[in-house]
Amino acid sequence: MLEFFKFIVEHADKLAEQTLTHIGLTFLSLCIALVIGIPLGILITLRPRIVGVVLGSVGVLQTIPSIALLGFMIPLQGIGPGPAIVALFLYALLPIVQNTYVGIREVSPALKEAARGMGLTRWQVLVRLEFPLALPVIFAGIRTATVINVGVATLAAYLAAGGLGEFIFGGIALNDTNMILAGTIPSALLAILLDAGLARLQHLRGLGRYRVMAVFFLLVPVLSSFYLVPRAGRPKLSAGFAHEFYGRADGYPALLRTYNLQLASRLIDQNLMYEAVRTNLVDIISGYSTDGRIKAFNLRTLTDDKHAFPPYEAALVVRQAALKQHPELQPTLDLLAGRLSDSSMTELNYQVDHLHKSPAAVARQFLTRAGLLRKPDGQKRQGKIVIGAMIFTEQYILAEIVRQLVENRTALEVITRTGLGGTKICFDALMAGDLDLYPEYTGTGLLVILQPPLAVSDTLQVSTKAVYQYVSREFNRKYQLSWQKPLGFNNTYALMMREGQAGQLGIRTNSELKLYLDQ
Amino acid sequence: MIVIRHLTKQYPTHLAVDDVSFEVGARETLVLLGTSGSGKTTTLKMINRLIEPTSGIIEVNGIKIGERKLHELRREIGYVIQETGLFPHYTIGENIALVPRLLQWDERKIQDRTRELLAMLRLPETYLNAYPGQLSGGQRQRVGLARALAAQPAILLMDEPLGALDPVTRSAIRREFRQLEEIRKKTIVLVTHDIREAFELGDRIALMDGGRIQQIGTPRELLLHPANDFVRHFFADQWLSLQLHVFSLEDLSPYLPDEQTPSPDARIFPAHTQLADVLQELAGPESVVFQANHRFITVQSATIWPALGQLLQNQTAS
Repeated sequence: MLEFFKFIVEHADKLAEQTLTHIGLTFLSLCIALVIGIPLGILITLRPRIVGVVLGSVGVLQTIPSIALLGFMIPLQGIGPGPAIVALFLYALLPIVQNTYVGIREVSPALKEAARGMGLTRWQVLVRLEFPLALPVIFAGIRTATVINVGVATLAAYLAAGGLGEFIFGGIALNDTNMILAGTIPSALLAILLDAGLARLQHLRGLGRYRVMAVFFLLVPVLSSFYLVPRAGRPKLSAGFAHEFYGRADGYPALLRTYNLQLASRLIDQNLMYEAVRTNLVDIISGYSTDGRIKAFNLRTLTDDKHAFPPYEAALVVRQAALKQHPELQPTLDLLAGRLSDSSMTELNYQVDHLHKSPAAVARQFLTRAGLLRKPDGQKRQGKIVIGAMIFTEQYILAEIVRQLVENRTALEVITRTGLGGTKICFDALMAGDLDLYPEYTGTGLLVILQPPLAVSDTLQVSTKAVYQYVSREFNRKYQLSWQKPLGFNNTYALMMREGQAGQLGIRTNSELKLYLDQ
Repeated sequence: MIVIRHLTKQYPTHLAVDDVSFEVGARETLVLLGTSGSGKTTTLKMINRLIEPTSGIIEVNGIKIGERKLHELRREIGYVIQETGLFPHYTIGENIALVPRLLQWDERKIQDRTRELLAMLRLPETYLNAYPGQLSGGQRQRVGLARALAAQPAILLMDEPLGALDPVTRSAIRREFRQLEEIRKKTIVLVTHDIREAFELGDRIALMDGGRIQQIGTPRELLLHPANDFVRHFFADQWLSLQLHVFSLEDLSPYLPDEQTPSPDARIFPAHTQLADVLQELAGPESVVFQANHRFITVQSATIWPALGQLLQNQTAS
């Protein structure tokens, strides 16, 4: 409980911003739903033939699970506030159209006839009689729509539109209960307050009622503009961070600590993050430094000149027993030392992710270009080794490179076990002798496997070399595992910007970014 | 004022109005009387085109209503329905001012007219800002009438105007209505199923059944000279009490003794006063004096009944 309040206090600014955005999203979509839904509801009272079609199709929209509707929005409209508002609007439509229709239909026919008998035109009957009398029912619909929207708006965070869902998604990604609650409790409170307030409006009697309802209609656009409030005072550049990056000690907190880099940030699903920066939704993201999309979307990776992020140098981890058993393995693996750089690894990832080439083909091309392959000598296979790989593109490619090189240079038969869940699984398999080697990252070896005291990891982190030496030594000693020489690239967190914008602003490093923001 | 010729309304399932013809003269009140389903309301609603006739002609002031603009026609015809016809979300003032506002009267004129109507219908001005829900049924009905009268239409259509009221309030309001000068000047078509209401308010009555007019004429004609068995049976229940509505003091005069010097405390009534109204006033043994053929005649409740007996005997004999 205490931790929860601590979290709230620490993130008060962010929470206030998310709440405003949340209210804005809710009412902006409600506003559109009112502008379209009420006339539509009125229209179908005049055209009884289309009632079934209209209420039917609006009703079907309501049956689509909200997360699925948002999923459909991405291919149709991309990400950002636009698609999120469209989705919310579609949800708000049914209660408003339906209640407008029912409210008007339920006005007593005798009253309508009296009005017509006195010489009111169809339009006058609608404006002076039917609509005012239907208002309480319409208001019940607005109330339902508002409460639905407050709930569904938490999903807008998935489309990078902000709102209280950012903490909910972030909390789920990080398994952080306090973070989940920090998003859930305010959004539940918001729903309860709006529900109670609108219920009071709906049940108002007498003179004041119509005036108060008119005030509400005027208030909706005002509340909608809350969406713009957090944006109005924002700094020159806005950031979109993956939930994991925002919450992990070596992510955003490290950035804050090292550079004092205060960014107006939004939490985004890490797969949509690159898309968000590409489409100008945000200007800075927290990417992974070798992701293929850096090349595909023409992004610039900012240099971490003060070493806020721990190094994640890639190297092969091999069982010492396997090296002893197959002495020809060591010189072969040595050939790969320093062969890859951040940009060349990015290029390989790009070829697989975006040009849809197979990892095997990409690996072969790489080895050929590097001149590492010899003419096959057709000797008979003797002995075998097993290579593991985790479940992402880079690992598949690295495993292929090792397999092809070893099979070319030695008589060993190579078996690959790809798609393994994560470091822990690979490491355990290696210890058990089910694997002989797999590609690993120094930062992960340090933080996930060795888990030294914070003081130790903090001092090491400054130097790429120190981390490598530390894990190399400790793995040797503790687990009889040998870290091969680094492959040459560092797949760590990095801030990224669109190349065009970064070039224009002359930003190459995190320090330069800080300098620019402080200007 | 209103001329109707061979009016017919055919619904898919039944014939609601079957070849109905009648005329309503200026300042006359015609009552369409009948049970539910007799076609009386359908006939009324065809006059302000809430229902379009299948065939037949309706003329108002010599012009076929089909040739008039719908809303203009309706704004010239006052329309009164049961008290439920008031707009519940409008104040009494706004309800009354509805049609004048549609006609874009000057706002000052609307205010004056509204106050005039309230005074005429004996509603306090404080009600102007009240809502219909805060008034009693009888008060609401008066407001309904005020609303219909507001734009000073020459013609009033009334559809069961007192239908939602209790019998005591009904007869009280009926009496008030009859005494209003402004209403007496109107040409009125009134629909009711209440026989007494028809006899009290109607100059002429059209008794309808099965979509046809069974008989049209003055109350006295219908009561004393029924055209067919239906008409005779229709009034049979209340035949005696209805006599009090069709005969006046004057009709009774031949059967009453002369009175040269009326007692000083006797009340003087006009000779055309209906017997029903006289009996209303005579709670005790007081006497009433009226003048007929240049002589004064005194009557007490005790002497009315024997005289009426003789009158009826004479009527049936002739």
